Amino acid sequence: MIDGMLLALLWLFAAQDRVDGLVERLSDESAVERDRAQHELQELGRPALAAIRKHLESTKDAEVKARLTAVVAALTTIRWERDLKAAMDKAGKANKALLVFSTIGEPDGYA
Amino acid sequence: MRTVAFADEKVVDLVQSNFIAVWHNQSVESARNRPSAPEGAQPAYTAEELELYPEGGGGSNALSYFCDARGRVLHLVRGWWRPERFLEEASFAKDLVSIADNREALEKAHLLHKNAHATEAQKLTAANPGEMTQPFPQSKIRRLHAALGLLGQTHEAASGVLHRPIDEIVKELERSSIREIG
Repeated sequence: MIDGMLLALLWLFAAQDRVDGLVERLSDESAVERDRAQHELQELGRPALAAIRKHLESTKDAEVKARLTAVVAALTTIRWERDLKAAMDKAGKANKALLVFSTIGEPDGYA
Repeated sequence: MRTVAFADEKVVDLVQSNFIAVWHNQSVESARNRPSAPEGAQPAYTAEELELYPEGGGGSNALSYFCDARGRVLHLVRGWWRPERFLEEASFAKDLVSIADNREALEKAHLLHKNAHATEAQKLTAANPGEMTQPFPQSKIRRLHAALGLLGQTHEAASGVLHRPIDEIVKELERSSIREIG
């Protein structure tokens, strides 16, 4: 049990290091590198959310703030596909189920 | 649904992890390219308003089709639901995926789930006999009882579309849409 807890703690520290490193890269001189870092942050997924939010609260850099805001939004909202056929192809290839929500209105409008 | 159920952390987690989510706008073509609602144009519901809003309301204006990877419908939830109830139905749908090819097993699962809701409604009535004569806005129990009835109906609707291809259903929805929104 202690081994398990130790492993979990080690994982947490490693994950925090990873987030810290990627957030630092959000200030890189190269725009390509900044985009890549943002994408990698998003790929870390929900487990990294708390750490990302801490950086969002503390950063004063406008661009870093905007990028972190976008990452948090991506991790905390449903990514809606709009093309049913493309989504069905994607579902078939990934062997993943589909949720099709049919309503009047757009995802960012009234619903 | 957008600002309540689909904004709930647990719902987002479950949907993102287990489904490819598709948003289908039932509006006629001419209404689809209108500008998005400005930020804050749709005010957030207060806790009291949410409490009073009838679960299951909205009917065919909010249809959640859960399908397998081949696009065959496994479950349908009609109307607006709070995160807790929607999560329950989405979890039920997720579990149907493993029996997606077995029509009989799917129908049995739906019947069991529907019966569970009916039992819940009966227990509610038995435990709160005086509530069923109360006006809707004043009785949370009555509203819950009505919602459970609507859930039972939604299972019947789901059984009617089991295994139907979702792209056919979406085409039918578009053909039957007569709404013009300026």
